[in-house]
Amino acid sequence: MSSQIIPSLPKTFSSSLDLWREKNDQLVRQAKQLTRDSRPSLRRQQSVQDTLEGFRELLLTLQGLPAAVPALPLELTVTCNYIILRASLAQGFTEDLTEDVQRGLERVLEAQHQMGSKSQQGLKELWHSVLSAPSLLPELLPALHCLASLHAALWMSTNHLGDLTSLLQTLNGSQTETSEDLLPLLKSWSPPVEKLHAPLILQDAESLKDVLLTAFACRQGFQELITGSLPHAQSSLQEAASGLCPPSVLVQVYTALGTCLRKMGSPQRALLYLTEALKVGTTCALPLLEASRVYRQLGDTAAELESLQLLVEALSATHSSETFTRLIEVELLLPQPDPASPLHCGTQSQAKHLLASRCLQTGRAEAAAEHYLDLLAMLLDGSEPRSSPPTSALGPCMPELCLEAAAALIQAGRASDALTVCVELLSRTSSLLPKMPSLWENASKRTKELPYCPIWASATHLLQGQAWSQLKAQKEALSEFSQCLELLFRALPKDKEQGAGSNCEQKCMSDVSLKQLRVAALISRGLEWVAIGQDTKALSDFLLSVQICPGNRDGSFYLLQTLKRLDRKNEASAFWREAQSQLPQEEAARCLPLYLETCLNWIHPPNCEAFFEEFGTAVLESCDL
Amino acid sequence: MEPLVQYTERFSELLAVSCGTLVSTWDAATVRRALQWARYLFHVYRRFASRGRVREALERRLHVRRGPLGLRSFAALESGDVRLALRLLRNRALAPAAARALPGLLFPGPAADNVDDVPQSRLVLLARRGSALHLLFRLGGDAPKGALLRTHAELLYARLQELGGADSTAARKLLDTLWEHGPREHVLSVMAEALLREADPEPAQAADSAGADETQKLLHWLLESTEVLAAFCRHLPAKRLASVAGCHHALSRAYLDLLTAWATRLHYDLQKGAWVPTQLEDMPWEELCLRLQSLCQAQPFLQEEVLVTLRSCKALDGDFEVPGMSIWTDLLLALPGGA
Repeated sequence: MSSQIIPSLPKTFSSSLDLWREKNDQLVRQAKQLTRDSRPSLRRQQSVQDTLEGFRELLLTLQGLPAAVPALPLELTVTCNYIILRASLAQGFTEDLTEDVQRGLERVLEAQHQMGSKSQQGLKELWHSVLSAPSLLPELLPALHCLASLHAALWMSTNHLGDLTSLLQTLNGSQTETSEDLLPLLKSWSPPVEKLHAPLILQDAESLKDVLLTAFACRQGFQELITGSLPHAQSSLQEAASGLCPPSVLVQVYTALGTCLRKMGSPQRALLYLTEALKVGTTCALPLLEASRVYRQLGDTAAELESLQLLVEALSATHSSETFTRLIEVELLLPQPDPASPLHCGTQSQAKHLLASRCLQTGRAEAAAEHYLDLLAMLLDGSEPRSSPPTSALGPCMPELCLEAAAALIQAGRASDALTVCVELLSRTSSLLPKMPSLWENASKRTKELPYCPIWASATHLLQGQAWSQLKAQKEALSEFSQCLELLFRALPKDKEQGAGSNCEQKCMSDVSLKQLRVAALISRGLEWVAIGQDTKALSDFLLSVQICPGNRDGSFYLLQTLKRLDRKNEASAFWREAQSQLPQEEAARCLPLYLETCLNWIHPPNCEAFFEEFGTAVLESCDL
Repeated sequence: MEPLVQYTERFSELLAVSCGTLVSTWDAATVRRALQWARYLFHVYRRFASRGRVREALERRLHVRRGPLGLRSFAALESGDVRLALRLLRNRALAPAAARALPGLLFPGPAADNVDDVPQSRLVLLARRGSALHLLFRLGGDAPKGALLRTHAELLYARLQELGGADSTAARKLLDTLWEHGPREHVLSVMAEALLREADPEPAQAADSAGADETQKLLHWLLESTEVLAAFCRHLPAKRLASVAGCHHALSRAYLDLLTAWATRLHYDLQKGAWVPTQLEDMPWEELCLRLQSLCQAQPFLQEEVLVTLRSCKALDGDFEVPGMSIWTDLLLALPGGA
């Protein structure tokens, strides 16, 4: 009786094993079929989920039995298929993979009766124990290498490069390998070839190795580009481009090579790579952004602005769904570009702002005004998806965008529209602003507690004053300039520790900027006093501007000019001699918001230097007499 | 006429000496002659008091040669003997022999030639007044001070009445003298008190007319003198000034003009956020606001006048609404009903 039972057990197990293998092959073929189908649909999504569920159930069935050597190739293959499909579906690797890998390795050791002596081992030790076991069956190697490649992908994507190095050294069989450079280790890795009768696998180790190699070259190249190791970055990126690089990644690689060459002072060669990137044809936004930088470096403003215009149009197009040619692609292993990275493309509104600001900076006021109005409409009317932030942390905040728009409109001669923008800004943010009567009451009572006020509110009044000045409305201009000055001198800037919104102000509005804002308001009001013939008040404003910012050329110019007009030559000469002893301010050191820079350009006298030379000569002549 | 003028001058000198230490060398005969001299002038007064021409001629001469302690007017001759007597009685420096002879000379008894010559009644009256004034000066506190001011105001009005309406320059000279030689703050306070008398009810119509006349004299003099008016408006308390201005429209007008003139001397310090004086002696912003607020709170018509004036100045200044640009805008913001 007992002899009859023993022969039947192997027969039943063998039959089940064949059935399970057939199930695996069926699921693999089904998954590959779904991968080739590029039509996105709910049915396809559900089918992929069903396939993944099938792999999970099959894996649970196999792992429910005691570990047995004949079943290990199939079990490991199912594990790999399950991990691959899940990562592809989730578009990324998660920590669940670690448990699956550990479970698989423990099953291998269990089948070889080695688990008892090495309990509670880490993953590195597990890999070492499995791969270095003398009794390891050759037919397990393909699946094990595939599993190792998946684990390597996780470690690479989570930046555990030390563990990755150790794993690759184990895979290469070089336990005494001293080299820790990952690229040679990846290149020297030779996954074993799958046998013809082996169970089907979604993506074999050789294919995954290629993905790992390209992904690592890309990661390293991008990192070196950011850190400034440009020759190394160029080498890594060329390595990535020469590998099996999918089109979407190839665009990034070519663009990064263009960035690298631009920074190395080879803009023309950079343009060649960017042209190649555009030829790839998957997405042209990133190459266009980099092209605008190259043209800016070359001084070709028209081409720069054209690139930015195309960039805005490219970002407005709906992204078509990509064809899934392979389950594990290089993209899954690449990190999202940091907003500070040159490879970060941003949103359409950010591109629009870049275009508008460059138009304003390069003297194309009419175009800048139109772009800014489009941008405000895009942001305020909610044309952009709500999930995307209006501006990134590095860009200007919303009020400052309004100020830039107002500055562009004033520059374009559209003062009324600028006033509309400013009034809209102040009305939408009235709850943030201190009330002027209460502000004045505090000043009258000499209260020590001053209200907080955002700096952009003061700047709004400054720009309103400029707009009224353009419209020749002196009273309104003077009132706005005075209100700006009251806020600047009576209210404190917003506390920099409060909220994330303050980070923008903290970056944009340094002490130098605040000082320049005061100077701009004082000189602007002084010029308005001059316009209505009140030179005494103008003198007071010009003098205060020079006191606030010693060495300011513009304030000194207007002060001397007014003193000269009033025939107060002795005071002018005395001030001139005093001003000569002060060093002129370094223009390159200041990093001002665009609207403030534009405003300072308006009040800058064109004949400043000529006047100083003439006045200096006159002073010297009077000294000689 | 000339000998009479000389006699009067000598007597003025005699009055001045009677307060000092030189009387220690006087004997009874000297005292007798001095008193006889005083009685002679008394008789002159009674004889010519009703004759206008002689009186006017004598007063002109007296004013031309007026000394610091001399007789101020023809009317002073009437009380010359009494004043001399009081001074001698109070002067401890008088020689003992002369002091013993003085009562007999002042009060001769039943053997006197003429009862009218005896100055007992007039002497008692003047002594009582002096004691009252002395008592008032020694008192302290607000109420007694107010009483003192009222008394001094009444004395001022009495003095102005004595000068009469015939010669308006006499009143002006009196006030000029007070301003020049008196403690100025006290003089200003007395004048304010005097100007406030019109607000008090007067029982008789004639008294009202007389008070109005003296008030007009005082007011006219005050408004004519730039220096005194500025001091009057600058140093008196704001509430008191507002009360006085509420009684006299001409004064309120002048007061407001001065305040606006002082306001133009302030300039706005942008860094301090306040209106600051151009020079040290200029009125600061806080005091300016206080005085304008007091005017607004005193009388409704004064508030209206203040607001109309400030709004007119604001309009001329450009009609700015933003603080710090026009002092009129900021003053209006600081005043009730001005915003």
